[in-house]
Amino acid sequence: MVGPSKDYPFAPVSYFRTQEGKDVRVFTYEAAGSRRISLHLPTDLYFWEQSGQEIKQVQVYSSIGQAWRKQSGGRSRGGGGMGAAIRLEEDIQIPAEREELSRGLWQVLEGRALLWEEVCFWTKQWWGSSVEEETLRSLLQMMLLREQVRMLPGVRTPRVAWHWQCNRCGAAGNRLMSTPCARCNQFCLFCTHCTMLGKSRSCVPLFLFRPRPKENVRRSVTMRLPVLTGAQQEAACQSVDFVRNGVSRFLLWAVTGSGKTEVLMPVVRRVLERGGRVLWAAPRRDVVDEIAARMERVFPEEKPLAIHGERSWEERKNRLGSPLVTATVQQAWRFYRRFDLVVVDEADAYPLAGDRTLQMGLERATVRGGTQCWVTATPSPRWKKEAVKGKLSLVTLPSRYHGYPLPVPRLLRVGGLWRRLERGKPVEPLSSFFHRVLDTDGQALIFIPGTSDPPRLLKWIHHTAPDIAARTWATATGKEKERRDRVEAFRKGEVQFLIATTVLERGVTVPRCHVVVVGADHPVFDSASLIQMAGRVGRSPVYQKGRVLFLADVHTEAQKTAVREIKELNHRARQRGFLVVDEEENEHVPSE
Amino acid sequence: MFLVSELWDKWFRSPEECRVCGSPLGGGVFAGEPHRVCNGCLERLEPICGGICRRCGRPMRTAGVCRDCLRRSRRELDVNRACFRYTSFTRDCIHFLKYRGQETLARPFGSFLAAAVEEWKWRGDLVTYVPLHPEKYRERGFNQAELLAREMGRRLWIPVRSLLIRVRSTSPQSRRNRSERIRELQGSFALSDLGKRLLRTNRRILVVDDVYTTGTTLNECAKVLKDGGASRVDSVTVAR
Ligand SMILES: [Zn+2]
Ligand SMILES: [Zn+2]
Ligand SMILES: [Zn+2]
Ligand SMILES: [Zn+2]
Repeated sequence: MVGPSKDYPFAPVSYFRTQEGKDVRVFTYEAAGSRRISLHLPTDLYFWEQSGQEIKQVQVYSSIGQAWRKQSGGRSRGGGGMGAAIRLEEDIQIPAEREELSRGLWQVLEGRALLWEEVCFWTKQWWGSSVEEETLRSLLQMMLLREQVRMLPGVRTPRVAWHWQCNRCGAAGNRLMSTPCARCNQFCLFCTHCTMLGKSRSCVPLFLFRPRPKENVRRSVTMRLPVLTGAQQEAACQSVDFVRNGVSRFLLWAVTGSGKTEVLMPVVRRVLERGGRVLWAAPRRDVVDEIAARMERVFPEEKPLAIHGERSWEERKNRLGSPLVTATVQQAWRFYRRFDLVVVDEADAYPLAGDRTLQMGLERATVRGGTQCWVTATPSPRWKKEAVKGKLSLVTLPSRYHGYPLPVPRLLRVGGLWRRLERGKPVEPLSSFFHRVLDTDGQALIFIPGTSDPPRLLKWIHHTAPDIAARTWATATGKEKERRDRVEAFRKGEVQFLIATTVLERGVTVPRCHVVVVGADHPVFDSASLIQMAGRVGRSPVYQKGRVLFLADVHTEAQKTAVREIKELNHRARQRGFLVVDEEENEHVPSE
Repeated sequence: MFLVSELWDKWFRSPEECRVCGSPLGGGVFAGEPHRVCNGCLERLEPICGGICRRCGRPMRTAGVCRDCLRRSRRELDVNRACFRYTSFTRDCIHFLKYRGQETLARPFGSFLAAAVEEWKWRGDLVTYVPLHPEKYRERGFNQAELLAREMGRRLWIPVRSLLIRVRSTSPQSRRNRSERIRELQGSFALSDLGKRLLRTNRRILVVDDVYTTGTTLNECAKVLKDGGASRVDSVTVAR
């Protein structure tokens, strides 16, 4: 999880302001046969009086967590001592203009999952600072009574500690921390997993604003998209079909450099045309920025909104209602049944892979009956298996946009590779690879398993091939900032040879690229990362001289799987007639 | 501070995460439980080492006394020490703890403070911290300086007591110049009842805070403590 961010500049909002030093702020009462929670009793009194019901057994708590436990689980811990019974005063009036305010509030906040502070922040932004806490509580309570919003404690703490869980992100267990809290004056739990979006804790309410009932609308949406290739067209059609049929989740398996973003644009348009909303979730900020820029170009009239930690509130202020949102995956925790289509970009990448809390967030951000589209170039074996069994709908895009086949890696075995490198002995395939890079006027990415390996490699090059060593070299394994600078230099062509670890397996794309993986048998290289690394090569139609080489002591299953999968995809593309130029020469047989 | 995690860890060992940035701690990691901070973060925090100002702990080329300290005539605070340079990353971390409420950060930073105090060979009687105004305290739910002090005291076996209270809330410091700040802070701290009692027997005090910018706040605290009977007041901060 990325660290601190400035996307929500909450001014500290007075939280359940105390009156005469007493923490009096969440109520429970009994009406119409069940126990309910209230933020603002007068509103409840008014509401129940109108339907001729009576409010009984009012109790007061300093924490929503306790009130919730009282409501859902009968007796709270420590007996009845925590909630103090209070007497009600008569004669309640609700100002008429609150009706309109509450309608406005719902319109702004529908489909969002927000903590109390965030609600305060939003309302302050929306109406200026004129809304008092009392009014806001009353408005929220009206919405609660009409079931336009659900209210839960930020962290749920039922009696069985086993079931303690953050209601916002779903984290549990050692991600929750119990600390003395000056807000509720007792120990309360907070979630350390989603703190960067504001602190979710058991004494703070979390509001899940339901989406408003949707009208059946049709509108026209301008889309500026270059012409799709045959393969892209076919994938786009299939995807549109899935959305039309209300498939809840499908996988778009698109090879590196296939133009997957373009493929999904017609799908996005379809959803927008029917008044729906789209969330495009990506694992990293740089991807979000890139996609957002593309959205801006394709759907200029939709005012697409981009959200991530480094984008300030000011930047997005006047686009809050936009139906087209690009965001980092963590931001999905802030939405509740808001999006008809959720696209999950690079679904197999960190941090999304294997993180149940993020998957839960994406699930919750999707409307019931909506569609999730998971996009990946390297689906996990489990997904592939599910697709084969028919449990997971699948769209395959096996060819690149320019119609050249994927470069197939050459597997080469060199006995005692690292020992040879260390002793400065010749490693013929590696030298000839470097010479080929020079001959074809290309650039090379050299992937190595660990951060401690570059010196050994550099020493070897200085020793055995001074002409190559004289070229510009850089190592992108160190500090993050340094890494970014070096990658930038590589992109600009100032650096010809870049040594990198798996961290860079996805980000870097240059037109005249060659790739070598030195020590490809190391366990850090699984087949997915090998495919990603090979996918750096041949991205530009005008430069197809790039080569991929896997050097290793032994052939591991990962290397073989990677080669097999790439060949299979090429084969499929060829069969379906997607390859414009078919260079058989490109396909090497793995040799010893 | 009771950690649910300590209980859970016995049954479910989930992969360790860096306490600062949350990235998984794989191989090649500073593995000591006291910190649980990844190498990347340790590098970016930029620990202060080498020459420092004898009085305020500011990193300098050569040891000595810095210009700011020489210029200041009335100085109640004796010595300050800090762990890290106040870089943008350190600031982000402190803000994450302070404003976002990531209380888990108190643990690594508290232990960094403890290491700094140990290295400094500070000897004294009591540790205390810069208090928050009650209203702000309730808003935030916790006091970051207190968390840091408690974590540090726990590791060093020095008692941590609340000796000070804030009687007046002040607006954010960052937007004022030095003399305005001094004027505004004057009289905003006082001794707590506990402080009045404890200062009769405990004379050497260490005050904990998150950042030392101009030292105005800490100096004001030191003044109150010395008026109350302390013979020596030092301070330690995360950033300088
Ligand atoms: Zn959470
Ligand atoms: Zn609390
Ligand atoms: Zn870290
Ligand atoms: Zn100094």
